Amino acid sequence: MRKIIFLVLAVFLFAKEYVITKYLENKPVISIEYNGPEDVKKILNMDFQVLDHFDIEKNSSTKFIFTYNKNSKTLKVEYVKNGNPFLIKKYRSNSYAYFPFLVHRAVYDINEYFHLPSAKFLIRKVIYSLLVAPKQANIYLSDYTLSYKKKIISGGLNIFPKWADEKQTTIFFTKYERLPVLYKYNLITGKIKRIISSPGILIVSDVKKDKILLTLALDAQPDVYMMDLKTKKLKRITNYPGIDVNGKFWVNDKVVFVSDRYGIPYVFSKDLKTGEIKRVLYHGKNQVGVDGVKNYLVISSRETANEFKPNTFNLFLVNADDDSLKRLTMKGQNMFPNFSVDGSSIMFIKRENFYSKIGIIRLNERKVFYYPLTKILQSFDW
Amino acid sequence: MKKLALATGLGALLLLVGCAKHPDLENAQQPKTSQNVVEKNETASTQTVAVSMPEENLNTSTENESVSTENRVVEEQNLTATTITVSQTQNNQQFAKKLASIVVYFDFDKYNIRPDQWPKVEKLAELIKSNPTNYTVRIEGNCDEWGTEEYNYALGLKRANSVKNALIKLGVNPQKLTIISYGELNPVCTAHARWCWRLNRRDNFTYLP
Repeated sequence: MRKIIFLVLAVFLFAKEYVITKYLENKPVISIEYNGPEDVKKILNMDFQVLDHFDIEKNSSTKFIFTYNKNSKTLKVEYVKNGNPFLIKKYRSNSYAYFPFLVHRAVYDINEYFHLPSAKFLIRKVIYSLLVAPKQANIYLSDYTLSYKKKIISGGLNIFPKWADEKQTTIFFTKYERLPVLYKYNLITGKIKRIISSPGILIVSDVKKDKILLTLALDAQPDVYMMDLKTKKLKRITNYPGIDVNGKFWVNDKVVFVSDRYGIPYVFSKDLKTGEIKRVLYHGKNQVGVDGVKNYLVISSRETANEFKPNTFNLFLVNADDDSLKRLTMKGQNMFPNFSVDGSSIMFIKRENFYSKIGIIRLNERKVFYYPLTKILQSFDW
Repeated sequence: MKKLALATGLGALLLLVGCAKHPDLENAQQPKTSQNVVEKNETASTQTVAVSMPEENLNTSTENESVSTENRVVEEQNLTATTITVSQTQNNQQFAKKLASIVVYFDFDKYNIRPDQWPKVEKLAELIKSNPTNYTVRIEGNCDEWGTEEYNYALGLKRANSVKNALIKLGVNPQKLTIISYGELNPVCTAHARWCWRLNRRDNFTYLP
């Protein structure tokens, strides 16, 4: 009996691991055929590689024939089973440059067709700010590979763009006028709305329905505030007379933030019901970046005492449910961690030997993918 | 019997169309093009689904749009250098130049004023006090490329605020002072080297009429 209980317990304990192993062993086997420009093919290959949900072989009974026509700006995908096409999907855009989104959508649809875990990160748009000259930063729209690029906001300093809604039609961003001003901008209609201004610093750190977390310095003191967008009412979350920034909504009415109240920056959580403030991660010497989704937190933490040595910043995954801690990166400066909307992936920036890369961690697939980044992004959101 | 066969056929057709993999067009905004067009091809079992992609700012031109699969080509468009509006009078121009010539440097990850930087702050206080006309001095906190996102901006702000508080203690009218943080967005030096980062951890002072 004891043995049975132990066995049941063991199966229960390792159930999650078991599912992941089984899932990886049973990737759908498909064939891919492509006709069209080489640039489109690169994106297509990248999508399947980063998604990592399929075994791609030369002669599978399930085949997908991609054809991109540059003149009509149309991507055609034929779903073929045993040599017979049974579904044709056509994706069209107004400009050629938009093709990465067509490819991402097509691959996303194939993933959905097989009822595989969500691949929403493929079709999410990325919004980022880039410094083009001192005191000159533009905001660009892009796909997750940063191949597509469209200038959205320019002129002066436009920084800290953040998606304002689930559908990715509206963004928040900070513009430096005489004071920093927060704007809300609709990408579809072009409508722009002034929300608030603050002396010194003004950043939208997180968005959750009608509430946003802001870093403001209304009295020259950087603190985390919560704003109700309906009532425009501000609520002060932190009031330590040092640095409190980077507020993120977390589970169970908690807000996490970065504070230097222990002399160097660490990540803390505040329970909005009780007001209790706790340190989240007792590891590392300096924790400057944090993002949260569901019960998970990803934290960028410095592990070496000398900030200029290699192995400087690594990413850690904290699970609030079981207090587990996973080290996600091993070397380099891994910063700006940013969860995908479904929580399945983390996008971050890695700097190593003065080169920057975009990294995508696929948590369930346990893989990290990198691709080069030639410019230093001021900040990004996806 | 014929009716039954017809009804069954219609039912099967409906089921087939209903089961087609319709994409989730959550961002669809265009009234006409965003509708999925389901057409039947000649072979009974093949369907054609047209999926339209919503694009931003469709009414505007696509001149700001580009694509690069190498991640290597980065555009820089419409660059216009910002010019600081300096008062017409010679005196104010000279005052602005003097202000701009003072730079207070900070240690890595610190916002307290270093002992060796105090004479500069004292000189700055004297300069502001000796010019009683109506103007504002903007104290601009800057950081090196280290540190991430928001923390760097807060650090820049604390650096600006340290000098602001020091100037107030030295008798400067607080109403003449305003602070801002540029984080790492206003580097004077862009080399990836220690001596360069040191130059970027600083406060600048700008004359605002």
